[in-house]
Amino acid sequence: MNFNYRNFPIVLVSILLSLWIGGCIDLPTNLKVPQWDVDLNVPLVNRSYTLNDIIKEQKYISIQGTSSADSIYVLQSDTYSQSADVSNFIQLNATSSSTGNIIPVVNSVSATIYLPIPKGAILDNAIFKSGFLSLYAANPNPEVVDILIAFPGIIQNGSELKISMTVPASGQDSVQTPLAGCTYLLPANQTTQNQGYIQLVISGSSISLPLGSFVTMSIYSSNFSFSSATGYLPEQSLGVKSQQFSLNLGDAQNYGNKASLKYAELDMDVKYYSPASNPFGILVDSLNIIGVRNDGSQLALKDSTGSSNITFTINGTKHLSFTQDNSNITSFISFLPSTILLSADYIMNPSNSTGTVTNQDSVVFSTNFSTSSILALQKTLITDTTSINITNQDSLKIQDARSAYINVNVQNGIPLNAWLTINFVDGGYNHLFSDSLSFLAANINTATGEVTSAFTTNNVIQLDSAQAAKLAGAHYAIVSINVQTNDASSSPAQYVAIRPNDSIQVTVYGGVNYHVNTNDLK
Amino acid sequence: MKNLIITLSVSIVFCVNIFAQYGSEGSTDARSMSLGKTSNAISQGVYSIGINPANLINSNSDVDFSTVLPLPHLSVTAGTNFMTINDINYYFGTVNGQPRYLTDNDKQNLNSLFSGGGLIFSNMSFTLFSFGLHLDPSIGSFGFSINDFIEGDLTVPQALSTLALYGNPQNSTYSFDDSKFNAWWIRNYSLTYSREIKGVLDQYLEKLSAGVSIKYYQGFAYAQSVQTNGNYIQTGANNQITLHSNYVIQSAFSNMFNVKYKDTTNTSSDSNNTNSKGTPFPSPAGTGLGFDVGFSASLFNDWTVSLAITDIGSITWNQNTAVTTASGQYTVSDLTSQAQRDSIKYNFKGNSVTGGSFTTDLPTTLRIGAAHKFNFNEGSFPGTLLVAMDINQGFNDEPGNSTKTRVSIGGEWQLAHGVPYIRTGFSFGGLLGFHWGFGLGIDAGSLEFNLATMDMQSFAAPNSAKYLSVALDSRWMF
Repeated sequence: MNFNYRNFPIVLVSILLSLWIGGCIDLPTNLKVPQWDVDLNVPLVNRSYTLNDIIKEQKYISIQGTSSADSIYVLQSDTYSQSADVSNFIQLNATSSSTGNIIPVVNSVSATIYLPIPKGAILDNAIFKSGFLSLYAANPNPEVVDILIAFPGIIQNGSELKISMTVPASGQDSVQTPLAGCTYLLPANQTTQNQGYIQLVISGSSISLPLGSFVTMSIYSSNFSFSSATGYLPEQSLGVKSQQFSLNLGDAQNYGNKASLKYAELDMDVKYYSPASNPFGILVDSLNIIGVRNDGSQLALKDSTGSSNITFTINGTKHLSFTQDNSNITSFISFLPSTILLSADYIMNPSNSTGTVTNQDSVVFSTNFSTSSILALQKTLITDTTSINITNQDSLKIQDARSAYINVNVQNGIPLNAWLTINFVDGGYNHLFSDSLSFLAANINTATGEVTSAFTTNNVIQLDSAQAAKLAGAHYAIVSINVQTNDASSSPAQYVAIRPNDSIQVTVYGGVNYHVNTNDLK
Repeated sequence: MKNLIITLSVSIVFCVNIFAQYGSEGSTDARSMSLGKTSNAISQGVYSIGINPANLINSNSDVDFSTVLPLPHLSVTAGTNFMTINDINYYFGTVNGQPRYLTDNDKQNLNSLFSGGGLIFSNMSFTLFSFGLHLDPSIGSFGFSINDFIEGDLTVPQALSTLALYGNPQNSTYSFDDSKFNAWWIRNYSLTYSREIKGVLDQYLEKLSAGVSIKYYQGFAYAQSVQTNGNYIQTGANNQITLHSNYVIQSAFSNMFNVKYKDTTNTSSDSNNTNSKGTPFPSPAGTGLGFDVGFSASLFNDWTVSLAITDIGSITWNQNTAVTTASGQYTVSDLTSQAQRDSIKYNFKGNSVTGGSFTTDLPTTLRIGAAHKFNFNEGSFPGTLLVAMDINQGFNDEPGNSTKTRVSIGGEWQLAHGVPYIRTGFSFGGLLGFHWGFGLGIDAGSLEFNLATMDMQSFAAPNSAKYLSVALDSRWMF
């Protein structure tokens, strides 16, 4: 059979169509993005923190020194002041008297009588704040007698104090004179041996009584009190005065019983305030400084002899410093009391000298406590149930994770061991799962407590798919942190220096074996 | 983007007449596409514009021109060089109605598809109008055409698929050097003159012709990764990620696209284009001049040889331009650090300088071709057979062009006058590698129809196809 070449195109096209039809295209009709597992790894945190970054300077915590070698935290309390007035010292409230004095009733004749100043005080001058003079006269004569009593040392309203009495025949009379506002100035003619007395000059007169007639007088003083007095006032106890105040050390209060301090100091400044230039001295006797906690337990500050009674004399100012060398101050501050009690007996003029005292005089105590961050710390919970809101994780599709890990690498240059417990809870704070991390303290020179090198700890949190699913439902992470220095419980405790420049390098990275399912991303 | 889509749609539907050759890789007319993009020595009439202007005089009519009617001339090529329909079915199909779970072997195979970078490309070219006037040989031929070219290619780096499939284990390096993208939309207004040259090598040549085209270019959109070497990601200890960036991207857009840049160096110069509607004749973002020059010689014994250099010139882009650069090394070790996150964002986006101008070369190409026409006698093998071979060498990698040499060979057989042409051909090398073209042509006297595909293998074994190309056109001849 002859091939008709004119049919060749038809044949060729037919062949090509056959090829085309034979190779029918298998068009996809239900395209879906495949699923697979992939490991995604990300760096999360890579930072270095100094303690200075973490612990900001605040009211009770400051930093002393500037270089990395000498800078140190100082825990400083408020300054507490106690004021003790000395008004008791110028209250001569004992009574004195001069009785049975015979006063002749002769015109132009007077008698001088001396009334003792109470408590043996010898006054050069004084201003009465209060006090009374009581005078009693008895007239045995058959005629009325007039009596004039002058006080040369007592000035009232600018004039010498004078009191008149009229005693009836065969009768008695009395008068009481208040001394408030009067001044006292020792009369110039008063002899030295009578300087502790108030001088009275008394004269009596009558119309017709014969020579040799007399009256009898008694004088009493009471409730003498001065707003100022110069001279001699005998040694006098003002009594035991007590005062308490709250010790405010901020969050540091939480470390009671846990922290043992190597260095601490209590500074006390005592000052006798007086407007006068020659005040009396004062003895602070048996000063007790007692720390009291809320649970009632107490600890007294003691000197190096073990005595809790601290006695000293001041005349002007006095500075006392209690250090670990002369007291148990480190234990006292480590005790971290909530309240401080101060009590002392104040004794005025212990040397029985002369001087001036006013009712404005006072003794003021100023104290504050300080300690540096060289310490030993037993295991202490410093943060509890800190809630971290982690609800914003829907977009991460954590539930699709087959597994996940978080690697926490810490180069700890701070001499504190730390333990973290993380509890993941749902919106109702129901426990889902928890994990723990620990970071060991920096290496130290055991003799000085100084950090010698950082200690590296690596923690890996590994989550399986079930935990990842739980993590997806977590709303909060509740974190608690415990810290402790090495050998804090040994005796003696190992102290470490915690310095602001101590640093911690935190490197956190993580990964997730993720099940890629783009249908979930719609 | 909306404007772009509208514009492209309007252009394709209403005024597309697509058959121009462009660059060493660009889309071709249906005849040359069916010959494996072989056309340098055999193009004729208005089909020769952009290929070899000397061939303009090779026309069997006094006038030829192309319009939208009767057949819109369309040439579209799109595809990838890495994923077949079979691959798509396998990886994106379902297993018992569920998405496929990729095993380790699946991931390895899928990742290997991107080896050397996964190329995704699309070329479209169309002629809004072309006209050829063929006068007396002593005067020559004149041609005029308005051609649009939309070219785009994107190379997806294998590192992306590796990262997506395997994640980012420590101590790994992911290079993005194989990433690249080019795209532009340009239009040229071409004026061509061609004539026969007498008195030169007459003893050897039956006919020698020369031609030249001068082109005025308008650019409407341009984006290109000018520099991509040195971009990689390294992972290190503690999951640390180091980004090495070193890229330069240039872009320019017509006002029609309403593109707004964020100038990272001068916020006061942020571009602020007013919105404008799509139009087939938008205002250009750049302009330039280009030249084609070519020679064609007919030897005795039905041999033809051809030599041309096309698109010598450049376009200067000066409207809505931006040059985005990034260079440096950035390490991410702390994602909680806002500074690091900002640094990543800033350096990933790079520095954009807007408002300047830059120049891009046209896709200059050297085109060499040879053809021989066999006239068979009845009884042995009927009809005529035209066999042609091309060598195309691009001088740059601008859109539609490639510095990789492309060689093609094709044959056109016509059993007899009035019988449709049957064409086929093969292309080797270049940007896209092997292609098998096939097509038909009908010469109906004053009207010519052509239909072709450049990827016959896509029809023969469609499930293994990576490309799709179709071209059809018509030409009036009087």
